[in-house]
Amino acid sequence: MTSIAGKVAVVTGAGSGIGRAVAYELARRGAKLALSDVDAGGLAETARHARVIGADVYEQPLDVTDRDEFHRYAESVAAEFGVVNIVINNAGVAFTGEVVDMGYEQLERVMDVDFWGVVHGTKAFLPHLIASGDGHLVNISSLFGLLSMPSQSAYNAAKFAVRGFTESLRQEMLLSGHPVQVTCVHPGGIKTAIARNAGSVAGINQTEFAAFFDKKLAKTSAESAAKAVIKGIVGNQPRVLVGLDAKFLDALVRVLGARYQRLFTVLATRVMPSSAKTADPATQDAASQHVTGGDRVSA
Amino acid sequence: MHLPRPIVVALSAPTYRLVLNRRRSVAVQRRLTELTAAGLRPPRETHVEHVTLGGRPAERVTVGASQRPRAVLYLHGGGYVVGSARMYRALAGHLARVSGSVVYSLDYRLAPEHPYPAALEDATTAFHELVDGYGFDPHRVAIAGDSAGGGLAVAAARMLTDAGRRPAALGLLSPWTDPGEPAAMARDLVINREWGTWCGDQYRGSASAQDPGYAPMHGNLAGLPPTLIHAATTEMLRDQITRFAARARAAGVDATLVELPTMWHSAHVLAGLLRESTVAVRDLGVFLRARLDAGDRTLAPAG
Repeated sequence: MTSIAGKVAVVTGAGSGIGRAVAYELARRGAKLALSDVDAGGLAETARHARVIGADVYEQPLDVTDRDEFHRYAESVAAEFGVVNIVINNAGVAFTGEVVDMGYEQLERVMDVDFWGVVHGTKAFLPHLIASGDGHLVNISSLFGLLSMPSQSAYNAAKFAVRGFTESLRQEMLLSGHPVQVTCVHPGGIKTAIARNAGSVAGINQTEFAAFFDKKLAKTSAESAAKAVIKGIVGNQPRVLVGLDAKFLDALVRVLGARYQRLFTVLATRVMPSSAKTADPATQDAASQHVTGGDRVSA
Repeated sequence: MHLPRPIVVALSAPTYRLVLNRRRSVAVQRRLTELTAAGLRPPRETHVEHVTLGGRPAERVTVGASQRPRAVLYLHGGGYVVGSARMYRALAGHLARVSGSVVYSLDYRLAPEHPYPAALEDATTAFHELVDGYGFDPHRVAIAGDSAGGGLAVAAARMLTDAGRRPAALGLLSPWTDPGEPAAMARDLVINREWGTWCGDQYRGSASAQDPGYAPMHGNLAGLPPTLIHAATTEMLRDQITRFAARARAAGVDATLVELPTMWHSAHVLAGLLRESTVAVRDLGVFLRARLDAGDRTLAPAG
């Protein structure tokens, strides 16, 4: 795809963060937008601002974990605009917690949004992207889809899965000759609400982890992330790394191979806040193993 | 699916002039308004079930999943004299789709056979039954309505709030909150002063024109739920709607007034046929969804 102007673009998780920034950037470049988010309030704000920029906007509250709803949504977008050129599966939630403490429901929930949400969006829109004759699918993975970190097992699993799914699909599209380009995006630490709104297992100080995330990790703005995403679309890049941290760590992991894990455990003891590293068994309580915070965010 | 706006205007203006005319009998007016619904189509996968709500017939409208945790009680317009759930099925369908709710479109009793407070009783009884009978959490039930249904929504919300059962939100489309006030304009594309005054009289019955249940503009507005108000810039009721929004805000209500320059009175009824109407109903649906989810802590994550 060489130009964004006049194209119909679908963005999930458009109510905040990278999704919102991507929506605005697409609007500035003349795209027509189908925006969704489970948070209708945030969605309304994004839609209103995108209209001010001048975009034709179709907004719809949507829970990406609801398969039927997502397929119905795809049909309604196609009916609204007649064609779908770009799909950006961006909706996601963060989660922090060690495997030993984590409940199955928590892991399933992260997989439901971060992995299945992307699969639903891909499956529901792929026929429309093929039919458009000029389609581009962007799935948002993460730096944590390239390397693992302690306490991020659920998020790592979902984001590695997104990468595997997306890279396989790109090859399928190339082999079949379908006119759909596929990009997997790996943002590093981006300044969004994701860490502040993340879930965690009981005992982990999420506020402290969020402060750590915002100060130490989130160095890239959502706006520059959005520009990188769109550059990836226009340049048909198979993989987009967003931020210097992502580029550096990706290179480091490739140099070190599996030995990066040893380095990270050493670093983790020095860099990360102590309470975010290990759950204090004293405050563990089976009944309080719940997701804390309203994790209605995108990443 | 959408028709060009000039064509819709050209078709609507003479139709409304013909139908909403006090020189026709009530029966003829009702029959003709029903006919106007023939050209309207709800979205695909709209499911309509005929139910009884608060002792009145109602249409239970869903799109896709038939069970939802959110509900919207919809009160149709028509000057308290004409209009029906059937006529508003397309609007209800679009609203159900966007808001992810079950929309209950109520056939409340109409004047002149049933003057005030019949319609108000029907609306509040319907809301109570959604909670007590159908099991909805009152924090996840909103009330919306257009024109007379908008005024009725405010009156019902007042009574429910005072009874300790405040709806989650109010959606008011061209609301008629002071039926006793003579309009400054003689007519707009849809309604005319003569017809409006006649309808207001039919509904008032023996009540005073200042009765807050009849004209909520004159009542206490404090404590009403978050409210979205739509007004067309060219409509006869625009001044009244603007004053109502200002009064609501002065009473501390979280009220938002949206002015729609390319719409006309209650043009939302044309959702699916006129692009502006579809967009306006979407605006309402997204607002209601946000308010209906506001108190929910178990909400599924980002989408």
